[in-house]
Amino acid sequence: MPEAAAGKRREHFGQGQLFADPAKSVFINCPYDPSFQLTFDAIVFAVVCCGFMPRSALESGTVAESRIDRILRAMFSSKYSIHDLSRCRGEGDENLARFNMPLELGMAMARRFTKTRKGPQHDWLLLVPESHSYVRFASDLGGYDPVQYTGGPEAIVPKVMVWLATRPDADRMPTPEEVLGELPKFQAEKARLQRSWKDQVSWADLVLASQEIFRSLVAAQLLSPS
Amino acid sequence: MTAFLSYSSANRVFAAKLRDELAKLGLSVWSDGAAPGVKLPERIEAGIRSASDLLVLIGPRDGRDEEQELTWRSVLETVWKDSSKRLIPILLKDAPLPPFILSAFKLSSMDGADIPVVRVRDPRQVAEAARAIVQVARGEISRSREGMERRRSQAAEIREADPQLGYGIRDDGTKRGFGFDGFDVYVESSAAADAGSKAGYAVRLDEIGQLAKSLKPS
Repeated sequence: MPEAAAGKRREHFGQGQLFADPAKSVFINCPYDPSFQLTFDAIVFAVVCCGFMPRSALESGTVAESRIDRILRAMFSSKYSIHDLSRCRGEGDENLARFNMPLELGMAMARRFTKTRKGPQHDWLLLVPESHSYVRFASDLGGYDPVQYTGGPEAIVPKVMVWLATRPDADRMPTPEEVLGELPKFQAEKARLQRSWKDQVSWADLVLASQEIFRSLVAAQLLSPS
Repeated sequence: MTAFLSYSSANRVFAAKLRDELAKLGLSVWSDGAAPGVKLPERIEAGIRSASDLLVLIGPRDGRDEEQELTWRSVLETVWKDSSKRLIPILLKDAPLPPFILSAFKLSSMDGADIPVVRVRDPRQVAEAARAIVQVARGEISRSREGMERRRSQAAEIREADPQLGYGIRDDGTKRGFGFDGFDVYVESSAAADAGSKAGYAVRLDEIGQLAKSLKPS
């Protein structure tokens, strides 16, 4: 159980275990809606298990700043970002699509062209469900070959992990099979936190819960006789 | 036996020579037929799927090469899905072992710390590099904990007899010892490559002579 959740002490984003080194930070630009929740959680957990820090507009917990400012703050202090365009299609009675995600993808893409001595400042992964018509509404993305997937966590975790594993800042990480094996523990801990906090779980607590489960996995695997 | 060879544009010349040498030894390397209408990522995936051995060539100054990165991703995903594929890293000169190689194996597995890595100190020795790669591909080099321990034990015995000897493989016909210094091509463990040390790889005792013959002492 995360210490914060146990009421022992609260970790704040950017401090202690939640220190966010930009070279190890991954901004997550994915749908928050209930039908994507399991997949979203799997992405967060996979990012932590790869040794990176998931970042989000939710991390500051403040409402005294506009949402776009919070997004930019988190994204601009992350070297990496993950974007999922699943929800860019007509929905509801008016058949409107949500376009926040392409907007944020555009910001990340522009940031890639701001280079440092070590290379581009930003690198991004674009995820789309198979047979998605993204090229029809954003044809400029046609040359980028986004990563396509079918299904939920089982499909998306390997795609996220293989991308992170081949980044210049990656360390050795577990296999997707090991991460997916631990995912139910994270989901159970998240459910417990939601009950405790009446569905107002902070981003910090989610990340701390992921870190704790991942550390237990590493300890158990490395100490077990092979 | 078919292999897939991943390399960066910086190592294209060495890769072409290596492909020829491997073919002479019976290990054919998949080459991109550039089928019309088929995108590069799909062609690479097809090549990786058809190969039993996945050779990953890494140079000391490899920068960001999009095509190489694409092959790394496909190689890693393939090994995750099919552990029967043999992943063989080939490090040129003092190139470091990229962490993704170790990420191919479960944390609990010995394999991640103990897979054979072919080190090519002198890229001119491409024929010897090919021989070492073929030996690894044929499974002629042990990757077992038992093999490692036996070899450590033998190394200790030999060091006791001759403290000047290092820890590696050498067979000059008159005395057998251990030490990679002086070899242009050798096989080290992934743990050694990862740590940047010259620790040796577990080779079964009956294979030491066979391996040493394929490696040229200076």
